[in-house]
Amino acid sequence: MVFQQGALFEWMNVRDNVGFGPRMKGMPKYDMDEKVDHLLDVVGLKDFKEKAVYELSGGMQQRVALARCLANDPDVILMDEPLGALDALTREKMQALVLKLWKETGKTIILITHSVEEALLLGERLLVMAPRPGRIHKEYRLPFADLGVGADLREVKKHPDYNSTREEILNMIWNMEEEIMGRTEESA
Amino acid sequence: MIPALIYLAIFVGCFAVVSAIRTRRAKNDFTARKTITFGDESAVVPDRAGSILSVITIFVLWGMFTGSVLLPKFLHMPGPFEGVAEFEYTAKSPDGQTDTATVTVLVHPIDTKPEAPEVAPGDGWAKNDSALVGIWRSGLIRVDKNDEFTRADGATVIEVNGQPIAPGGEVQTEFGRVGMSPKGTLNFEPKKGWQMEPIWLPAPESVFSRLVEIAQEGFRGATLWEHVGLSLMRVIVGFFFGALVGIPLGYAMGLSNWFRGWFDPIVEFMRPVPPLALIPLVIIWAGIGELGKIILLFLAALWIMAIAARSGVSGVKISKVHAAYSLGASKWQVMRHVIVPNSLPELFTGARVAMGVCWGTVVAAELVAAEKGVGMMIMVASKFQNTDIVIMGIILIGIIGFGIDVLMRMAERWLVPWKGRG
Repeated sequence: MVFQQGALFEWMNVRDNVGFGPRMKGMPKYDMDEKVDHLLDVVGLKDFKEKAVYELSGGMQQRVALARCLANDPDVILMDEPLGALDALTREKMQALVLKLWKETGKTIILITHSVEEALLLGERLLVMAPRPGRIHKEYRLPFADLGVGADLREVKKHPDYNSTREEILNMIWNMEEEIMGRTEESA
Repeated sequence: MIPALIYLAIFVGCFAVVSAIRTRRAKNDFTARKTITFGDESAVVPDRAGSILSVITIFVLWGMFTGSVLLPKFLHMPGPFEGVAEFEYTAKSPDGQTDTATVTVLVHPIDTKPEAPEVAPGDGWAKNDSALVGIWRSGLIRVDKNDEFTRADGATVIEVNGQPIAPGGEVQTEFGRVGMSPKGTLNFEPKKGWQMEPIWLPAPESVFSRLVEIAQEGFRGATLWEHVGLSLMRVIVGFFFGALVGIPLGYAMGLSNWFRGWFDPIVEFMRPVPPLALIPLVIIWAGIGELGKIILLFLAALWIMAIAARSGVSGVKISKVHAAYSLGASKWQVMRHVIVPNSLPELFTGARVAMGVCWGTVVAAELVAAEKGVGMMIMVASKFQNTDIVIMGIILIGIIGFGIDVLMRMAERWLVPWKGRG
């Protein structure tokens, strides 16, 4: 699981954070070191192995969180708004990283986000959720994630279907929102 | 009142001087162009020049009012009168004759025993007198004793230095006050000046020399280091057991409903009870020996540490616990790797408070009853009016308390560097 932010253990350095899962399962130290080195390489934090996590920036911290999650080699990764607290530029970089990891590891990633653009860029299968009661409102199958792997994400955004799909989803969400507002006004 | 006014004057004067120097040297840089300087709390930092001057001022004032040899003479407040004082009295004989004689008083330091000055008897029936009075003291002078007409004969003193005096009245002379008792005896009280008598406030250097003396020779059968060391030992042992029991108790209260329910009333009741209020009971139960002190300090530290541990556990972010579980940690591993390290900053804050409270409590407990210890030292010294030892002890207690806090803060920075950065 990857959380929004603040789920790293600040009393451990970067290496111990990433190696936490394997350590808890009693993996031999040698294998663990190898694994941690590899994962830090993947997320681009090789030089920060011995740093304390509170010395890193927000984006770097989320990369540590990603690596920590991958260290356990899970079948499914649940990301709960992992990029929500990052600034816009870092966020775009991290989106590319998530795509890269997704392709390289071949793992199923469930990503929860409030950003329609992020959902379009990163999702193969997009589920729009509706509130009260929480339910799946609509499902999409999207090509953009495959297009985006290794490519410039801004180019993907120029795809003819991209803007139309985004508008469609945003309209849908706004309509839902209005419907809910109306309902609450009636009940009030 | 006068010391307070002098203090205020020094405070204002130092500020004026320091800011004048600063203004002259001020650079015209970026910070000088800051427009909002008043009301910006984050911009207020202690002015170290002020701190240094403040400490110096305390010692200077102390020296001024005690006539310290560390200060040049002109800074001393007017001291008490010392030397030969004279005044005249006029007596009236039973048959209405008046005669005037001189009284010579040698005002001497109270730790010396000089001879009374010799004076010629002088003319007339009232003879000149001489007397001894100690500095800061007063003395009755029977001026009529050597006269040809004494009080028993019906003679009375009617004037001092030409000013009329009656029983109960007084006359101010340049050397001090001359009063008359209800029976008609003169009472001379030399001028006391503005300095404090050493039995009320000794000079800084005599406090220091007393420190050296006690460090070398000891006090009441124990060296200074035994007194200080014993007090510190009590604090450390009491705190150690308090933490040993309090921390697991706090963890249990943070992790289990039953423990929290069971111990909540006890902890919440005991926490506001000042440890000092337990001293009488502890003395009844455990006597005035080591055991009683350690039980008292144990109780003082216990609740603070239990509450610190409890809030340390409650303070753990649930996302960290979830993350640990999702990474495959067992309950025990979550405890060991997440909850305990996460509570360490809180524990250190609690330990700092507990050490401070323990130090205060041990001194208070020793004031009440102890055979050794810094508290006992100042208590016994105060009974003999050894003010220098009392002041020395207070300074020592302050320095040690401050030292404990500094050490705890250093340990905190070293052991929990992530404090406040989660």
